[in-house]
Amino acid sequence: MDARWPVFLAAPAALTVPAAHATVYLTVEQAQQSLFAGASFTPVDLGRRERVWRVSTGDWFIVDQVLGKHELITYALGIDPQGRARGIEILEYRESHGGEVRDAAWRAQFAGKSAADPLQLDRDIRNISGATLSCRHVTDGVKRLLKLYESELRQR
Amino acid sequence: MRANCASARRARALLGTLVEIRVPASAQGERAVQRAFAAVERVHRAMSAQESTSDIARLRGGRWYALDPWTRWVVDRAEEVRIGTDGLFDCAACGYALDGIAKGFAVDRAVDALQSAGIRAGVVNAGGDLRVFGDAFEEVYVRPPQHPDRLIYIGRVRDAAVATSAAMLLVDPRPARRALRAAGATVIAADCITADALTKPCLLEPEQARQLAGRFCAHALVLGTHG
Repeated sequence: MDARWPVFLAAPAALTVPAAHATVYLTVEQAQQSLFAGASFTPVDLGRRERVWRVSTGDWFIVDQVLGKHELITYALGIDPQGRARGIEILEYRESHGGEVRDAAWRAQFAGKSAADPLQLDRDIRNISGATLSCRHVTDGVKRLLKLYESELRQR
Repeated sequence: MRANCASARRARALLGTLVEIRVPASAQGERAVQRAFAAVERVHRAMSAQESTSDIARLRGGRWYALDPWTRWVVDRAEEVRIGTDGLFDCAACGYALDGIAKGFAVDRAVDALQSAGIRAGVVNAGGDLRVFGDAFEEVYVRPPQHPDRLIYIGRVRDAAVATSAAMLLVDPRPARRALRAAGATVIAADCITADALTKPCLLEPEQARQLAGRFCAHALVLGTHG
């Protein structure tokens, strides 16, 4: 093998850090099982931004996004046939700011990492204190999805 | 808990923010996290200023009975901090809004729930009020309130709580209010309720921050108004 390769592989590791940092808490499938354990899910296309599934239990499962103060939050809502919220799960939290990448101390986390390292684990920034982020929009989003149920899903 | 360990991270929208819990991945961990969120929900129900049925409404009405014992505990702790900071921290002055302390308390209760479920290490972060428990060090960053696009690395902590408050969100309990000379204050303490409460006095009197925090065996970092 060419001796230049290891150098080439090591360098891009620090450059492939995405500008926006996403923290994935649950996949859609995990959120489905968390809210409706053991059920099966059938996607329903409403031609809208929200992703909607009919649950084998007769309930509904919707994935939507809201904008917080500086961040995009993906969440899932379970709704029962009476139109009541069964539960909410946060799936993903994405910071719109990418400035962290410029911070030397943060970049130092990548020192010594190569393409062989599982860098996706370091995609997010952990343990940030300060600048309270707002989740009030999640509450507003849930209200909107409950109305969506009344207007589009209840009669289905 | 090392960064390369498999961990379970869960988040809920509670207390007006995103509450995140991270523990080592295990079936036992998932159950413990549910119990920890249940503790945060109890604090949310009892101490949220937004919920008309909360204990805050009772306190404002002078009804000191039928409070959640946790609320009573928080009010007592708030009084200790008020005395220890010469009145710089005062919930009563803000109509018993326990916002300045309830989030830190919720983090402590979540950590208690995790530990009593046998979880030995983890992190609970309620929108910037965080607590690290267990043997391992965790790196902690502060997001300066006036520069949300930046992060300041403050170091590694173990078995400690870190809380940050921004000046723009602060109510000054003193009759003669002065312009604030600090933009944000970060406090590192043994528990999160203390860290959370102390950020406010440290913002009001940045020159005394070290001494005020020292009375509670805590450390304070003050962020200037010029970044």
